[in-house]
Formats: sequence, structure tokens, C-alpha cells
Amino acid sequence: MAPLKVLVGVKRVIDFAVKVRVAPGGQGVQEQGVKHSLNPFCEIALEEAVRLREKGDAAEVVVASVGTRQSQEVLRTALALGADRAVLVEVPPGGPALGPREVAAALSRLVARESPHLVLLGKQAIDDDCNQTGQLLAAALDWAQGTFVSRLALEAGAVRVQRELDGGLETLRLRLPAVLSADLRLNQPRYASLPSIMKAKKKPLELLPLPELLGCPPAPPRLRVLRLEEPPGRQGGQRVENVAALLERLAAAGRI
Amino acid sequence: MRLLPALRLRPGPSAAAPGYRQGQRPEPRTREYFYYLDHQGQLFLDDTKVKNFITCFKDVAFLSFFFKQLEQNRSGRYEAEFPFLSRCGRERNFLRCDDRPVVFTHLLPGDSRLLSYCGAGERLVVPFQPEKLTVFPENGRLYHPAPAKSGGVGLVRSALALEWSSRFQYEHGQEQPPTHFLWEGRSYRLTEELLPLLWAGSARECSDIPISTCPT
Repeated sequence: MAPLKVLVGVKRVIDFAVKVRVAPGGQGVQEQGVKHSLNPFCEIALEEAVRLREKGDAAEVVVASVGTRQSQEVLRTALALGADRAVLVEVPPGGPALGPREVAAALSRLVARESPHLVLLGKQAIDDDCNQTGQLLAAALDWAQGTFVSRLALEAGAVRVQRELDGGLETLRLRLPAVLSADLRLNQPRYASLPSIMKAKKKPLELLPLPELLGCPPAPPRLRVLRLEEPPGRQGGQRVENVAALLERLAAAGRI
Repeated sequence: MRLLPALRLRPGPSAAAPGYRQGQRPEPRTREYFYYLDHQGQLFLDDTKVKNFITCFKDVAFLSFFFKQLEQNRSGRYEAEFPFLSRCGRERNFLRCDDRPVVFTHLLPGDSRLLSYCGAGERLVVPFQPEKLTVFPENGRLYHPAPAKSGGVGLVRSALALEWSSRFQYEHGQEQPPTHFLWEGRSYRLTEELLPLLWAGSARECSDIPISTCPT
């Protein structure tokens, strides 16, 4: 089978272990000085792409991110984890937050430039939980899509995927090219050894301004955050002796 | 169940059921549980089918007690498959690891110079000794001293090694392990004193032993 080119999209997000706080003004969360890392789902997508190359099914793994210059950190991490080269589609800091619509538009232009046979993304980012970029990108490209992928196997001109759905597992065979989004069960990412980290410093990392990639100024975002608030604090509970007492308490509170 | 060609069922302690049952009672009033620690320092029940940052144990009190009690498994039970043991009263909690039973995740903020491990924040820490950081040539991973009871050496998790990677200096060229570590304005010559422990541990490792019989 002819080796193929895989493009992996990754996102820099606030680390999952951080206790997130709403920023003053209620329009976003505190990001300054807060630990960021590679989105866990993106890491899994990348791991799968690297495994495909190590098996000989893929010839090249290109990793890309759409974000400010700080996103170079996660691209360097991705190179250390085995990607061959990286592209940062750069946006200036302080601009409006990019959502799946803007990212999918950028990635579709990158696909036109790079001509991969397969695009692998994480199924969602842990900051916005949108779970839309893969789907929007596949639609923009008019490619087959396999989302929530928990197993993946390449065949001649196609990819067989197992999808994790609420009702069970679905197996699909998709003709290439295709966009896939990785679910947690797909794999467990590797440890980036020190030699890999050192080699990664020499791998190419290209900075590509977004307007240059699009060939025009980016369209303004269509979503505006009205308000962001933390969930209400947990109230204390009450213990009751038995079901009868529970029903009485609920009725007295007007709940039933 | 029809399997995709890329799937292979891996035999061994991670396969559900054979060899043990969680909570089994080999003697009266004694229960046994079986755990797994991955290379990111995430602790799971060994037979958890899906192991990731969502399904790992997170309770700091539990983790702190579990790892403080951790020692080599010399109980005569499951010693080969689960090299470590954490006792809780009469309960035996067996542990096997992807790498080491101690995985360092981050330095505590501030001037404390304390290195935290296994997800318990400030409750599981060792003093940070930059000169003792060691790259093990066999696997390229980064290690640091750990409590002696747990084997004396712990893995520095990948994300932390990446953060620190630009602080290493290579006097003999980058094909060789690093020789110095830059920290707080000082260049520490790496002593590599953990290497004998790492080589000894590597010789002892037998990570793919399947459990074929269940001790009664």
C-alpha cells in the first residue's frame, strides 16, 4: 500500500489539572501565568499518526496548530512525540478567541496546501468542549469523516474505524481522504524520551500568518461570549431515616 | 466479537479476571486489590479497561496514603506480577507499573524546591536534587531520587522532562547523555549516581508475565 501523509491538528489548552477561574469581567477565564499543555485528545490523535508511520502505513506526519505564537510550545511537544514537522498558523495575541469555525476554515486551507490523505484531530478540546472542528473540516473539504474513533486500521485507499457511540460501537469503512477525530480509547500516548526531545529541536517548525494562509483577512467570529460564570457552590445535603421521610421532606419543599 | 485486524488482545495482568479478582479474600478479614501506575503518574485499578486522565484516582488523601505505604512486595503473593505493595491495615494493595512506582509530575510553586509525585500535590514530595537527575541510556527517560522504600528512583514524567529539556547541557555532544543541568542560575554537574539502581531494576524487570494460575 502506498505510504500516505497524515496531518494532525493540535491545540494548546489550559492543563486539565488546573483549577480554572473566571477572569474579572466574566468574559473569559484566567490564562496569564496558568499552566498550559497539549490537549489530551490531540495528543492521542498524534500518537496514532506516529504509530501509523512507525508501522510503515504513513510516510510523513505533519502537525499543525492555529493560535498565537505561544502555541509553538505544544508543537515542539508534538515534534518530540514523533511528528516530522510542524506548522503554526499564527494569529496575533489579544484578538478574539478562535472557535471551531475559524479553525476549520484555516485547516481546510492548510489541507489544500499540504495535500494529506488523512487528517487526525482530537474529538474535542478540554477548554471549550465544542467537538465541532473535525466535523466542520470534513464538510468544508467534502471528505469522509469518522468521529469518536476508538480503533483505526488502514486498508488500500480506505480506513476502517470503530466509533464510540452512546449506544455502542460502530464500525465504518471510509474511503480516503478522510477526517478522523480521536476518542480517549484510541491509544495511550508515549513518553517523549530525552533523545526525541533533543531531535525535535532540529525539526522544522514553520510560522505561517493566518491572513497569508487564507489569502485574505480572516472573517470576524460570529459568536460573542455574553457571560461566563462559575457553577454555584455545592449546598449541604440532609440525611433522612427512610423513604417515607424522604417523600415527606420533598413534598414539604414543594418538589413533588 | 469480531475484531479489527489491528487489534491484539494482550495477555497478562491487565486482562480482566484471570489471576485475581478485585477484593478477593485469600484469608478471613483480608482483602486484596490490584493497581497499575502509568508513566504519567496516574493510578488505576489494574483491570480498568480504559486508562486515562478521566478514569485515574484523584483523591489526594487516598493517593497520599497509598504511596506513603508503598514498599517492595515480599508478601509471597503475586511478587513477580505486582512488584510493589501498599498495605492498609489487613488490606493488601498490589501495584505494578509501566515504569517506576514513583512518577514525578511537577515542582511545587514558590521557593520550596519540592518535587511532587503521583498526583498528591504537596502531600507526596521529595526535595529536588537537580544534580541527581539522570537520563537512562536504555530508554532515554529522565529519573530522579525517590523514597528508598519505593525503590529509590522515580520517573520524571514526560511533560516535566519536556519543560526541563532546554536546561540540560551536553559537554560530550548531543549523542551522549547530558552532563549538566542549569537551575536557578547555577550549572549542576550530573552525578549519574542513579544509574546502578536503574540498571539493577532493568535486569529484574519482567513486565509481560501473564498470570496463568490463580493462587487460592
